[in-house]
Formats: sequence, C-alpha cells, structure tokens
Amino acid sequence: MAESILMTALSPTMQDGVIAEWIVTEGQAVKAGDALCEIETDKATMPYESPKAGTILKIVAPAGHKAAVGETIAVLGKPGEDWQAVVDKAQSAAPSGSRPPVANAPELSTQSAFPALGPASEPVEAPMQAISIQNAAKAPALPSGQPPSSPLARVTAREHGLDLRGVRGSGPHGRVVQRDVLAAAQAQNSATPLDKAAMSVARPAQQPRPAQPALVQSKGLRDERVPLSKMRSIIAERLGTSWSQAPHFFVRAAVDMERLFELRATVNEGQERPVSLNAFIMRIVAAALERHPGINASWEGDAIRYRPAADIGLAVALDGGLITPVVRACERKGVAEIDTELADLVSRARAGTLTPAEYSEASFTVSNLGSSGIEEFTAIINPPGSAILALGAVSKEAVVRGDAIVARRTMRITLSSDHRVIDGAIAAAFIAELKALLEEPAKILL
Amino acid sequence: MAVLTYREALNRAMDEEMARDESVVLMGEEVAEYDGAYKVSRGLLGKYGAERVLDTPITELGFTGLGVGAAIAGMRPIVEWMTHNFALLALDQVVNEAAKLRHMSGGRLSVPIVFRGPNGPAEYLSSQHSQALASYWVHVPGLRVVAPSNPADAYGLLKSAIRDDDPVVVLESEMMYGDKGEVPDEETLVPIGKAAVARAGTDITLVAFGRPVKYALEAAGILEKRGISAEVVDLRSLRPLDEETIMASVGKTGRAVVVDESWPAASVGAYVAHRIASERFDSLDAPVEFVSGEDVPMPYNHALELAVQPSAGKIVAAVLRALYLEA
Repeated sequence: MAESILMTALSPTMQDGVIAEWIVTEGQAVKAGDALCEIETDKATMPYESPKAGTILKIVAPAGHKAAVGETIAVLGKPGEDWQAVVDKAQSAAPSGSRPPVANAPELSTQSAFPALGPASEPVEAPMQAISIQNAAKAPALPSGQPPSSPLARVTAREHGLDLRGVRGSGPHGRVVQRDVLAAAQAQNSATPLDKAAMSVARPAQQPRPAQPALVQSKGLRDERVPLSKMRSIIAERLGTSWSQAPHFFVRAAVDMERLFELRATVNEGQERPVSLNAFIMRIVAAALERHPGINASWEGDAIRYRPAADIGLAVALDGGLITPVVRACERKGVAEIDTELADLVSRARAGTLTPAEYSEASFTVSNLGSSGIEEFTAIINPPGSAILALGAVSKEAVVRGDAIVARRTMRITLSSDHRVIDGAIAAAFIAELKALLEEPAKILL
Repeated sequence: MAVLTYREALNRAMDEEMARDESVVLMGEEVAEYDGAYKVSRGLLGKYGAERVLDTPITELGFTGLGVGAAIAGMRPIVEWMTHNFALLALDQVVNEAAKLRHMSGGRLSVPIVFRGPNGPAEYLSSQHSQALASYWVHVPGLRVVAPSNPADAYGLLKSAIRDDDPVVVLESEMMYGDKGEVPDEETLVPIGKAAVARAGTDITLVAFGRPVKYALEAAGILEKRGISAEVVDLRSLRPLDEETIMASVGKTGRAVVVDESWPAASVGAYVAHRIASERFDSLDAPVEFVSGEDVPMPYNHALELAVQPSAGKIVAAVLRALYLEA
C-alpha cells in the first residue's frame, strides 16, 4: 500500500528542514537505506534514508521546500498505486503549512501533527505532543556529526589514532563503545592500502558531480578529501604552534664518525643484538646536554624551566604520522639500556600501544633521516623541548687531515633552537661539544 | 578451619574479646537470660556474669545512651539492637553523641563502642521491620560502618570493631545468621576499611556489601556459563570506603554494577556509583549500573516482598546492559 514519507527529526532539536536536493526521481525504485534526499536542518545537511523498499510515486515537497517534522514529503508504494489519496489523507491530518509541531503552539491543540496518531478529534495535551516528537526523533537510525561514545571508547580510539566520527556505534542511541572501536581498528589494520583508499573513496552515490568532466584515473594520484585523523590533527596543531611561536634558528656541523663507528663495532662484537647507532647518539647527546644544561630547558611564558634529566625523544615515522617516544634520563643510562628501552618503545609505537606518558614531555628530541639517505635537513622543535637535533646520513667524504685528503665517514647534524630560550652562542657551544664527543666518544668518561 | 555459622562466628568474636579485655560488656534487649533474640549471645551470661552481660528495658534511646556514656568513661560496650529498624529510636545518641564527641572535645574524649544487630529485609516482616538502613549510619562522619557478608568476616570484623577506639556500627543480617562458612581457627582480625575481592574476573565489576554479596556471587556463576567473567568486590567496610580496591577493579574491567538492598535515593550504592563515575570516568565503557531495592515501603505480600529486592537475576540483567548484550 502506498504510504507517506514524512519529514523526520534528524536531530533532537530539529523542528523543520529544507529539502536541499532530491537524489531520487519519481518512478525510481529504492531500497531501505537508500538516500532519498538531502535535508538541511538547523545543524547540518544530512542524507534522508528511505525507511522501506518501494517506488517513489510522488515527490510532494520539491527541492527548496521547508517541511515541518511530520509533514509528507513524498509517497512510496508500488508502481501504479494511487498517491493522490495518500497525500489528501496526510494533508487532512497534518497541520497546514510548514509550521513545526511545537508542543505549546495553540493551533496544534486540535490536531495531531502525526498521522500515525490518527486524526485527533479531541484536543491533544501538550505533553503528549512533546513525547511524540521525541519518538519521531528516535525512530530511524540517524546520521549525526558527533555520535555519543563511551569514555573508554574515546580513550581506545585515541590510542589507535582513530577518528570516532568514522565509527558506527552499536550501543543504545548509536553510542560508540569499546568493541566498536576495536573492530574498526582491526578493520583498519587488516585492510590493504588499496582497500583503505577504496573505503575512503567510496562516497555515497547520491553525491554526483555532473559538472566535473570524466577523468581517466591516474595510477598514483587520486581525487580524494580525507578527514584528519586524531594523530594528524595533533601533529598539525603542535608543530604549527611550535613553528609560528618559537623563533627557530639553526646551527650545523659535520661530524667525523670514524671513532664512534669503531667504538660501536667493538661494543657489538659477539653481541647477539647489536646496539643501535641511535642509542649511542642519544647517550652522547645526553652527555653534551649535561655539559650545556641551557639546552635542556622549556619555555613557560613567564619563566624558563631547566629540566633535571635528559629525557630524549626519538621521532618515529608511522603510517599517516609520527610519534616521539621518550627515553627518560639518558644521562644515567648505558647505551645497552637505552637501546633496549628504545627498541621496546619503537615497536610499541608502531603497534600504536604507547601510553601518553611514554611519548610526551621530551626535554630534547632527535630526528634521524639518515636511513633515507638524506644528507642534511632541519627539524621543527618538538615542545616542550627547546631544541631538536636533525641527523643526516653517514657517508664517506673527502676531508683534509694534516696535509692529506682522506676519506672519512661523516654525518651532517643540524640543531634547531628556540631563540626565546637558547641564544646562538649557547647553541654553538653545545653543537661544538656534541661534535667533539661524537668524534672522540671516550671523552664522555671525563 | 572450623565451619561456623554466621551467628556462631559473631558469638566467638564477642566471647574472645570479653575474655581478653574486662572492659568489654554486652547490653541489649534479651541478650542475657534469653541468649539474644537471634541467639547470637548464647552462653555469654553464664561465662561472664550479669555485670557484663546486661538485659535492658525496651528503650533503645536509653540503653544506647547508657552505652555511649560507659564508653566515654572507659568501658568498651557492645550494644545489641534487636534490629536496625528499632535503632532509629536511638539515632540521636549515635549521630549527635557517639559520632561527635572526639571531634567536639578536641580529641580528649573517645567513644569505643560497637552497635550491632540485623539490618535489611528478612521475610514476612512487612514495612517497618524490613528496612535496609545502611545510609543512616554511613552518612555520618565520626562513625565506622561494617557489613560482613560471611562468617569469617563477621568474626574478624566484629573483633576489629570491639578493639576500635571509635564507634563502629555493624550491619548483620537476620537471613544470614544460619549461613555456614569456614572461619580460621587461630585468632584473626579483619581490618576495617579493606574491601575483599570475593571472586576475580575480567569483564565487569560487581560491587556489593552484606547479604547482596551472595546474589552478586550467584550472578557471577550464572554469567560464567555465558562466558562473562565478573569480578565481585565485597566492600565489607562502608565507612571508611576502600576506594582503592573498587577503582583498581573497575579500571581493569571498564564496567560496573553496584548492588545495594537499600532504597536507591541517597544510598551507599548510589554514592559508590558516583565515586566510580568520577574516579574511573575514562575507563568506563558503559554507565555504571545500579541494582537497589525498589523505592517503596516493603510489601507484606511475599511475592512482592521478594520482587522488590535485588536478586541474581536483576544483577545479571544489569550486567548484560552494561556489556551491551541482549538478555
């Protein structure tokens, strides 16, 4: 039997909505869940999904029309059914015009705004109207910009770098609960990059762009707008703030790495798991920080806080972002201990299971793009630290020793400093010390 | 370990403490000649004499006040209320005197007294004799309140209560006096202020005290068959409350059902639920569920009398809600 499709409350506060655009046309067959039209409400524009399968017999409210909640906007049924009778019946039951069924509107006291309640001959009490509106709002599963979510779900989503807006909630009123987040995280992890692209490209069919010429899809490039992940927005916010607020300046040095490589070879001889170069560098950076504590400090607006330990962060690249796990108090640890901690932190950083305490409050940061073959680069300071050290690749260079030109393994390092905290002379003294220690690691024993 | 009834465990605690300390005396309606209305004081009159085991008139305010005065003067009285329903007559002595004197004397006075008796519904007792009044006492700073759920805790908590230098209210249960359980043979004190994990689990925390702990354990058994692992926290002490144990459990499970046989409004359970919601907000995957007695005077009709009380079934239903599972 043909029946009315009513404007429903797409948000709890919605009283009427404007049909922005019809996605279906009269005579078109639709399935339950197909988007029929786009509705502009007080908050947003949202797709209106068909409550049932059938054929659109008549579009009653054209695009641009403002319809009250409960008003008939279209008629759905089998082809050939009489839609006019449905419209007439709905109009006799519904209030005239597009006035919303407000609980205290006096005109409404004689008629129900809801055909389901039947044409009321007795005055309808205001409380009943209010209840009806609530029920109408509850009826369909509604899209919404900010789904409710449990605190645990939010924490879990943050840990996985997931945006809750993309997760469908299985709890009451669409509440996103932990199992939903875990399922979404698992789906994300198991999806191939191609799947991921497909998932994010798969936009609803109801958003055609007829004006756009048909493109031959390029292999690597794609036409896509990807909402920010939580991680991405945090990176954007923090580094944007750092770059615009901390006046950066840079000092560079070329470091002869021969001695450190010899030392590392000696230390690693016979070791099952070799100690990484990063661990050596972090230990030596800690020794240099001890000798120049002015670098190991934070800007606090009305004060400079000197930090009591060399808590050194190491930038780790992740899919879609980066994170800087921190090895605490490197000045008190041996390279093996630093390396063990680092290996654990890095593997868990990649698994997305670091706790905030493990990747925040670095007093100094190291960023190493050497493995990518980068000769040298500059890095943006990672607050609350005031300096970051950018390491380039170690490669053989021709250098003058005495009167001879010799090939030496060399690394280019660049220190970015926050001038509010660190002056040029201090940065220069630090990088000179660091260069000396890296070139003659035995000096850290002094 | 000997198996004792809850009643025998309380009796043993009083017997040992009276033998240990001459200042411990017992007073109340029918505690001496009749061995107590529920036979908890059986044999104590014969053992310790009429000077230390005293039958009192039916005057709760009077003999409770007598006990408070004796405590101030250096005795360690145990006042037995035939039930907590009757103790409402003695509220003034407990709330305005016993609970206040240490504070108002600047620490010069202490009131080492125990108020004990059955609390909560029994059966066929109608509205005036079936009340669960824990919040009346837990509300008041200056009091300690314990609610043992088994014979071992009844024994160990009552001994701690008698030795405590502040007034302690002991919530017993008429329906549990016959419950049997193992009680250590050697002298054991259960510390006031420490909850117990009565059953370990990982999926949800059930918090209860007194008789409803039994329902929570029963519910945990039913849930286990459905593959749900419930942890049961037996509060044992209601004031001070062992929040550490509660929060550790909820931090682990992320879901909680609080059970209290009292009426819901201003109840101990409601307070515990509030504390969990505040302290473990970021751990919670669902609102804290609360299973209380229904908000009505106790009906006399037995079917209704049972229907208004918490039960294992109601707890299971609350657990399924908190886990977003279908019943």
